[in-house]
Amino acid sequence: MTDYREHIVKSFDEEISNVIHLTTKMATLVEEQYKLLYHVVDTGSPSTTEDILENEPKLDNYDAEIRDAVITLITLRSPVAVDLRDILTSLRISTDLERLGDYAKNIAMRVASLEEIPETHIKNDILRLLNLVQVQLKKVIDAYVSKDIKKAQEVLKNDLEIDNNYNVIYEEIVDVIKGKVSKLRLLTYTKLLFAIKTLERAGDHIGNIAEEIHFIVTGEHIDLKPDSKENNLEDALEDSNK
Amino acid sequence: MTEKLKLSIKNLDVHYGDKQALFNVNLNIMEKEVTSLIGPSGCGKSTLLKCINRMNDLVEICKIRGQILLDSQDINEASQDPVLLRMKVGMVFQKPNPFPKSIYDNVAFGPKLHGMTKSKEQLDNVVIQSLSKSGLYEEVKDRLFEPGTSLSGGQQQRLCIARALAINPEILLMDEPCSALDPIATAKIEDLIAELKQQYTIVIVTHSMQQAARVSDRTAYMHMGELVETGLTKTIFSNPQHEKTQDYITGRIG
Repeated sequence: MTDYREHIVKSFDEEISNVIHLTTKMATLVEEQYKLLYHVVDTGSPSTTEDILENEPKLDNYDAEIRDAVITLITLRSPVAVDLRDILTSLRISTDLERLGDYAKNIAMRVASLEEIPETHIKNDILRLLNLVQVQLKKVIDAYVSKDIKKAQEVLKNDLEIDNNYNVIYEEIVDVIKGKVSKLRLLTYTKLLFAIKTLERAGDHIGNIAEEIHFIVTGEHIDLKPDSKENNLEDALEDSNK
Repeated sequence: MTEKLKLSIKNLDVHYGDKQALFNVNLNIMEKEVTSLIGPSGCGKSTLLKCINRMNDLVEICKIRGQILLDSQDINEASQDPVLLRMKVGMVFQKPNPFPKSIYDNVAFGPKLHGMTKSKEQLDNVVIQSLSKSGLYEEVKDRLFEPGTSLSGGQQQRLCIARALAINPEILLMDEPCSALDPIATAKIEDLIAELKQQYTIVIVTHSMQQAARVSDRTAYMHMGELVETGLTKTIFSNPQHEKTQDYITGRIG
């Protein structure tokens, strides 16, 4: 955790705190959305899906509020160095959060028919994948609030687990589709494929946030090449620890 | 950037009587670059600047230890003539200070003093070129013989820059050159600095963080007489290595 002194101008501190506070509140609401989503996947509850849809516009509001606060801050204070990183990063994080919120909504609308399929192991596996996403989300929010770079690095490492789980479920569903499936069921399975892909993407956005946290604290980017993600991540994290 | 060392300050201590103003300052200034000195009031920026053209010679209680090498030659050596040094190292001050003379005479003063020109025609040329370099010529060409003090603040400052350029210096020292100017005049000076660095090595003291970030290639941060951190301006303002620098540039108590 990195602590900085107070600014000479007190309201400068208040304005930065406000941006961080808004971002944290937005993140907490996204966390809530995934909690509701878990309930939807688990029980198929239509009223919980309604709750998710109702929360969605609030996320857009936070996004707009953060943008306005950042613009005001840049105009009034011309922040530099860590302050500038802090508030510019809020903009990027809120974009990731907004996307994560979108995903929760999309998945909630796709998995309503999960109850109809006989393969209970698929449902359990999706629940496990969703739980992994939730754990990652909680961890990245903690890392953001405490500017904990170690925790952010853990989040980046753990994303691989989400990817692996996604691949397993993907194979499972494809295996079912390869067998004899009614047209109606086929639609359900296709929706599930989209849902798990979306969860996998959610993991990537959480990873983005972790990278942003790394940037706020160190002023340096963790550089990852998409092809051999695993190896490069290890190298990049090792470099940044030096 | 040429990356050629122009000025090397080594282990510089400066005392004013009992009070030590600079502590073991080490700083390299590259040729044809803009180096800005930043730091809170009283940190020694102006003292350091004045050492570079030996203006502290005039302060009796001032004692200097260490070396200031201009093109590898120690400027404080007994054999060095401070007048010749100041031909190489021009200075522009915070408040525009034109001589109470005409615009023309302000610029012609240095070349005349040093006997740099042989004819009236040559002198005219130097004046016109210097005024052109400082971006003032077009604005004053029809009133060269009006008093320098009749110009606006920003124009007066550019007149002072033209006056400094007239003796063909290698280094230009600027001590908060824009702090008495409005934003438009400031923008013109900053523009001018960007042009002048093609030809001159510039050291600028400024209290405006944004100005330092805009005009300089390298920045040195000073605190209580010590040089805390020096580096590429881009790095100093985006990711300073020293906590004191960070505290200062971000407006925290430093």
